[in-house]
Amino acid sequence: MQCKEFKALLPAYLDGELDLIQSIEVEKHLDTCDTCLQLVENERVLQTAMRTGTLYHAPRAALERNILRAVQKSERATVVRPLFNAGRYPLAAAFAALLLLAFWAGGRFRVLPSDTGNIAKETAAGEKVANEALSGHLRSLMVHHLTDVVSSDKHTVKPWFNGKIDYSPPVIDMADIGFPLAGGRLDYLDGHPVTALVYRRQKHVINLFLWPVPAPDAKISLLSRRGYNMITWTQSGLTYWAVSDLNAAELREFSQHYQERVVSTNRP
Amino acid sequence: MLDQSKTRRFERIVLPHVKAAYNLAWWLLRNEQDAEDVVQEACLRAYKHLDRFRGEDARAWLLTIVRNEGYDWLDRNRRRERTVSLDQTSIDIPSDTDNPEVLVMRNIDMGLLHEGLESLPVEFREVLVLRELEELSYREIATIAGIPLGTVMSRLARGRKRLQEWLHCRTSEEVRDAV
Repeated sequence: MQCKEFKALLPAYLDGELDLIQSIEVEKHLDTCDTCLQLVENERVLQTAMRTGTLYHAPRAALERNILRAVQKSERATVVRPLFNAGRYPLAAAFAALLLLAFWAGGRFRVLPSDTGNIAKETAAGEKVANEALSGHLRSLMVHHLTDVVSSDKHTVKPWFNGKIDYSPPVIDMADIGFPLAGGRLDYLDGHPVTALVYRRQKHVINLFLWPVPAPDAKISLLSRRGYNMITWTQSGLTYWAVSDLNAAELREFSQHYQERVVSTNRP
Repeated sequence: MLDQSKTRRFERIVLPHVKAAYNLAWWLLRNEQDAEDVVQEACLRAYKHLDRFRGEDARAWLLTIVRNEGYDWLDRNRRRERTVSLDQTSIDIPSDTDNPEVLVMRNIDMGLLHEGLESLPVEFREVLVLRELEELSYREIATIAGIPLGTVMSRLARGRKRLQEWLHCRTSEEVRDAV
């Protein structure tokens, strides 16, 4: 790593926003470069000073009470003067009720039938992994660190992971159905190093994270976070998280084909 | 009749974050009275839209509202232009690309640091406050400020650099005055 690259990563390094590989690279550079080390020292001095608490402006104790009072006052005002009295406008009320019903029905039936049974259980642990997977995806886009091994050939990508992780990730070729492999990297999720495979769909990037779990197979579940779609499943002792800004239908297509192809590669 | 359950929900979701809300508002507006007004407006808005809160991060949700209210306030009172001009007069230092020598930071005068942060343009001030005083992640800051992650990182970097240069400049001025 050169000083220029280091400087680009310095803020993310300082803020603990780098992945494992990048942090190691940054630290390797710091072992050899005193100038950059001094930059880090300066940033740390500033950061420590900013976090001592002297800069923090705390509110007067009365503020919370005033807020509650204002809220209660606003509530009373709306209760006394209802904006819309259904008794006076029966037709409009009926129309509004119809509209509401339409919204309700639209919301209910937009969920595809195949989704209903298996939307990921929003347990605290699941939520944490989902957030970490999304952060991993966003980080990979942010710091120009999408791939450590750049290749569209699974025979190049797969051996790259040898010795870096203690399981053999299934690297599947998906180019024939419009999801070319872009490469792979090592990432860090849910407390351990994981394989991240990068696929593309036109301009979209799909990060597929996978790592071993002692859990039975689980069907595909779809989640959505901040405009990103995520699909997770567990298959033959590996758990998969596909994260992308791609639409849900195409991400589902990707995941289903991946799953099927893993099965056919495992078959003797 | 008052909606007791909504008020209780408000107390549980919004009130714990009033402290963070006020701190952000203070650093946006840089005075107590305006900060209190903005926090109160933001809390009323949060109460009004409480049913839209879907159980994500309550602090980030409230801070987003505070930021919007704060920016509206700044727009109404045309303080943003003043910030920029103040900043241009107080920070006029060549960047370190012309000067490869690296400064060494040691003891920081907290009064100077406060002054330095106050004099930064609002876009740098807010990311620094969210990161260093609230210790939020880039993702949370991006959501609150409505900017891409890359912009969060570059604004933090530039804000920190300006602060360091400002401190260095002021500290050496003081040393010079003492001599």
